[in-house]
Amino acid sequence: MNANLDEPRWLLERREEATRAAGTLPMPDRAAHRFRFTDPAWLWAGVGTGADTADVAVEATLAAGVAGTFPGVLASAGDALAEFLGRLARPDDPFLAFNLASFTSGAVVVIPAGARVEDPVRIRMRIAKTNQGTACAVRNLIVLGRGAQARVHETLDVEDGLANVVTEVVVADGARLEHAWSEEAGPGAAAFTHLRTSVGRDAFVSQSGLLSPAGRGKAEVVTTLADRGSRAEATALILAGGESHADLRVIEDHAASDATSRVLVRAVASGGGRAVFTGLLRVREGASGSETYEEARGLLRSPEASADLLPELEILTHDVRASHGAAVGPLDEEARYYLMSRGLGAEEAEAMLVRGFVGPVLDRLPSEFAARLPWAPAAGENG
Amino acid sequence: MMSLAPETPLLAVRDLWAGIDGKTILKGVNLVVRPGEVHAIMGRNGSGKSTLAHVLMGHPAYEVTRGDVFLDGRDLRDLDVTERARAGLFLGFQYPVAIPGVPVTGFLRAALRARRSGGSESADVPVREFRRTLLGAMREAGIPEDFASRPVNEGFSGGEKKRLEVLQMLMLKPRLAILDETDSGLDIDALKAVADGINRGIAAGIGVLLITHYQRILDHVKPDVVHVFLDGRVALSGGPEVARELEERGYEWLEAPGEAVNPASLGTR
Ligand SMILES: Nc1ncnc2c1ncn2[C@@H]1O[C@H](COP(=O)(O)OP(=O)(O)OP(=O)(O)O)[C@@H](O)[C@H]1O
Ligand SMILES: [Mg+2]
Repeated sequence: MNANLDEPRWLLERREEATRAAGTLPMPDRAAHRFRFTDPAWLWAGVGTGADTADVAVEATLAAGVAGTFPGVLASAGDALAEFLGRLARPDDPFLAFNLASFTSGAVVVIPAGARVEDPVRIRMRIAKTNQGTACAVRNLIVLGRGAQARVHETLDVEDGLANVVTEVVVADGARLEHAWSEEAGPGAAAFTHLRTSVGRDAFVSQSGLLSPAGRGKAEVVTTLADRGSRAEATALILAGGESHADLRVIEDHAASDATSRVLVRAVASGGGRAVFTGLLRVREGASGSETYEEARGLLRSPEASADLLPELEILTHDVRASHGAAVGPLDEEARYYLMSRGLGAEEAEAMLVRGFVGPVLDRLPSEFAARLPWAPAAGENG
Repeated sequence: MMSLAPETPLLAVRDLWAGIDGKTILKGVNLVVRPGEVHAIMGRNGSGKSTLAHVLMGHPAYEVTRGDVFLDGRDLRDLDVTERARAGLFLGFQYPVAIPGVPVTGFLRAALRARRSGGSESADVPVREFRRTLLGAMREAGIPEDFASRPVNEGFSGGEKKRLEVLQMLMLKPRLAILDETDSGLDIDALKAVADGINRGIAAGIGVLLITHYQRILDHVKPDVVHVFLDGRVALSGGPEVARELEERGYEWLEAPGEAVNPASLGTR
């Protein structure tokens, strides 16, 4: 598709393979959870129409390593790119294939082994109004070498058209990554993000997300616990208001023994919004001593709003501790009454209840994300 | 306390009828509480005491079909729950409600702000000063300090919840506190702490309507008037001796058709 002729041979080959796949792979089966609530066609609109390029900026203070954007970063980050790009998120469905075949922008961050990066690395992606309904593919790669520690804040704002963003993340042995992501799509716009992470031996990743599209947003957080003692935490706040559609899929894939994963999701649906969460905990054969836990709760703030929260377990080994739970309900009227009986106005009471409801996931988001939300905690309110 | 000048009652309830889900529960309640008075309401399970408390507070699920309620001479009819609270009404819940994820501190600060000024930010209490007041009040109420950062009533024991209700009353300084079984389910120390708290409130000028099943709280908190609630109305009012009489005789004699009860003979004030 949009392959740049200056690209290295390995990349051209991967793009070619992906282009073939994009043209031949069938659209995903809507009977499976992944696309049960979201029409795949929404995430295909404008594909192949000759897309605009997303604005991608990366902001980092690194003593060593790489932080840059395509195409310039191809020269500086050659090896890591060739090793990982398209290898974690392979082009095995039309969306991932389209992305690899046609991405024209994106960020690459490589933190060398043993390095500790204090300030968060920020990746900002924006697709402007001028996009005119076309599909934009963005590809990011984040690599933490052995024992490295870093925080990454990744934000996506789609003002028009469709964004298809794939971020591949490698957390090598003993490394520690705190990864925060946010996905926003304006009214009439759509965003698809696929965050694919591989966690090494005794390594740790936390992924805290905010999915709050005004239009349509689908986010996928797929994490492979690839080696012994790896740990992953995925938390997310899903906000669906107005006419929006927000669909989060999380997969914690235990491929090694003694790994731990925790998934915590809060969804708030108001107006005519629709919130969806499907979370698969998969423990593969031989991944004994695994511990996995998932809790999802939804709050419905209007009769037209909906929230579908579906946990799934796929346990193929013994000696596993797995638990999950999901519940959806309206605002607790008695709690509202209690707060009002203390003099709080109806709206203030509701805001306080919603804030309390989302607290466990909101507290994980960087303050710069949380500040955009209607119930950011006021100074001093948290004890 | 008796005054010759006619004064506006703190609370005046006249022929109040109310119900829920189509079922009439309050059937003509009459009740007058004068400023600074302490009234106790006793009565069987299911007689409608909590219903009265919620109807006075303005709980939206209840429907008032007849009668009037005045607080400090102000008709409460068209006021919602918030407005009633800001007018000076407080309800200590029989079953305090858990507020998941909302720490006691943030909750109380918002409540205090609301009480002071109708909720505007300008009435905000500086964080430091607020914390000092709160921790002082918690110490007095016998609530451990770490409760300040715990979610309101979540995982609190029954007694801890009741202590927190009293603490809220003391911090919010209402005109009238309706305390619905705030003395139930308490151990001996907690009962003492709750009674002390209520007495401090009374000393600070809070009028109290104490709903209770037990004489023992009335040994600590002295009521001016004791009402007996029967099938949705006040069947009898008198002095503290009424509580003692109930303790000895139960409620049956009040219902016995042969025995006419003359409230006046028991000295309604
Ligand atoms: N939603 C409802 N629908 C029908 N009846 C109700 C409803 N809520 C309460 N009641 C009934 O109203 C009556 C009065 O209840 P209320 O809670 O006021 O009693 P109470 O005097 O406070 O009792 P207790 O001493 O046990 O606290 C009870 O018979 C109760 O079952
Ligand atoms: Mg009751």
